[in-house]
Amino acid sequence: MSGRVLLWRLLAALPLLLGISLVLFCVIHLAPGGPLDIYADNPAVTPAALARIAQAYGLDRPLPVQYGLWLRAMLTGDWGFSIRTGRPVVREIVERLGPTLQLGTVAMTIAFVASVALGVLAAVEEGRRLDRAVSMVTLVGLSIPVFWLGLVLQYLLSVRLGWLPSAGLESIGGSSVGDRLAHLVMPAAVLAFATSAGWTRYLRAGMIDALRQDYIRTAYAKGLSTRAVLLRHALPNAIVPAISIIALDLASLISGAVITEAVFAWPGVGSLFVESMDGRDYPVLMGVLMMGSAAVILANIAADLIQAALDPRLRS
Amino acid sequence: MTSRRRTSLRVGVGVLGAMLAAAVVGPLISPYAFDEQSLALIGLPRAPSLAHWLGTDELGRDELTRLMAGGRISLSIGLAGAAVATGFGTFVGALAGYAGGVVDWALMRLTDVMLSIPALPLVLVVAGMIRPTPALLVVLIAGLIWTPSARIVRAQVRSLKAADFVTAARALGVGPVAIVVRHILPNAAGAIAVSATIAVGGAILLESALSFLGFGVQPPIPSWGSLLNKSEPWLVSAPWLSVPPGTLIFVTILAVNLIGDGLRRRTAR
Repeated sequence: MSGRVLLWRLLAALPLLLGISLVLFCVIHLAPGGPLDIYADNPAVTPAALARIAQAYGLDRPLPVQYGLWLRAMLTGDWGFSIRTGRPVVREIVERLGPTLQLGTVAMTIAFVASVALGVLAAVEEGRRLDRAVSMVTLVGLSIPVFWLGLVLQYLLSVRLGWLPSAGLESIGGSSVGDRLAHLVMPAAVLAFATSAGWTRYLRAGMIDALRQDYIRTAYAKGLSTRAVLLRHALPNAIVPAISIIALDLASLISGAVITEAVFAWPGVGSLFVESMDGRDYPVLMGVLMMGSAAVILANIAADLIQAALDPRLRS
Repeated sequence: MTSRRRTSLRVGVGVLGAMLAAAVVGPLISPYAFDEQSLALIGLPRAPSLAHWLGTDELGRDELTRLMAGGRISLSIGLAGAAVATGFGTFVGALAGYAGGVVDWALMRLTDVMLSIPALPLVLVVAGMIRPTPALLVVLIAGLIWTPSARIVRAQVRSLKAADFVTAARALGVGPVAIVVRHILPNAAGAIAVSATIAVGGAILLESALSFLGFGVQPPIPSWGSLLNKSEPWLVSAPWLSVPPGTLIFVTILAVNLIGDGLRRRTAR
């Protein structure tokens, strides 16, 4: 994909983001009542005072105007202030990105390696016992609710066996590298297991498809080892179609692995989101949602770029 | 392959059928009501006994009855959510695919927007604002998961629009609505069935995740997700409260996925 095409794709993403911001703005105003409702029953607040407050916050302006002002603030990086803490929304989110990225990177690396290995093995052994075992495991991974898997592991590994800490980023007081790693094991494993199930299925299907192609027969015929045929000729072709779904899963992590983080009290963006739910902290909620949507759109473009780099046929 | 396809379909349908039967019949034949409190047992969860096969919760309510009543809510939200989502998705997809042009463009951009917003956070925000009843939850969940079926139906309609039998029907003077409903959609039935099955699993999972986080079905109505949510503080001292609801969610979604796999293999040939 040339630079011009990339620029074009990025420009085309802008109206999409605009549409998303419109949907999200409508969602905020879907809420019954408004921010001034808490004053409504207060006898000390006169209607005149109420009108003054509404005017000060621009709440008396027509909705389209409010949307325009909100959008302009969003674009200039002014995402407002958290209702709960009074701190800038951007700072609240940036602070939580660290743990989220840490958990996400580890989990996604494990998921990628595992699903490539399992996908290749299952495709090579198609229809045999190993393939059936892999499809059983992926079926379980697709069906098991993450929150329940997390609870069961917490019960078994922390409560019963005492092998791992049950929740949090680190122990209170001491935080060595080993301690942080121990805290990371369970959430990363749960997240990796749930994510790799879908990936493995995609990669297996892609590998089976690739192994049927003529160039694989040619590669074998010219005397290449099985290993070289599988890893150098079949695998790249199997990965190309899976990249879109992998990129989407990666992007959705930016807005936090909401459930995994909630179960393991992992202080990432997902936990920030759930905490903000309790305080109805709309500026934070909208900030996370906008960031997450932008990440998904960028990931889509990135996936197309990578696919074009891997597959010359997609470059036209 | 044939036997495996049938096996996964059969096992899936059997398990899901058993769940439905237990949810429908169970609360009728149980000696307890789902919100009936035994005054003698209030205070702490009690372990399973002959009178209460799966024990009682801290409010002295029979856990087995609550599980079966919760199954009614979870399964109906799952099935209804998937039905509404598939119906709406089919409508949007058929409209976009058959009308083409500006209509198609606008509807597909709408699905792009819906697909780009992170699903769980969005539904959490809305559910948190309106504290939904089960019926509203169905609408909310369907509003999130209709996009895949819309895309599938649109693709099918576009490819079948130019088929000879459609041209023949049009030449006979059949109207556009009748062409889509009577001639095109029946040919897409397999693909629609597969996406409907996936939607059932997705809807049950979304409901349970929402309820688990405390923003779905509200007490005193039980659902499997909310039972799991309420059992979390008792994970260590009363595991009989948290193991069954999670297992039921897992097994139900497993059954739905088995049906989906079976249907997909059948339509793939």
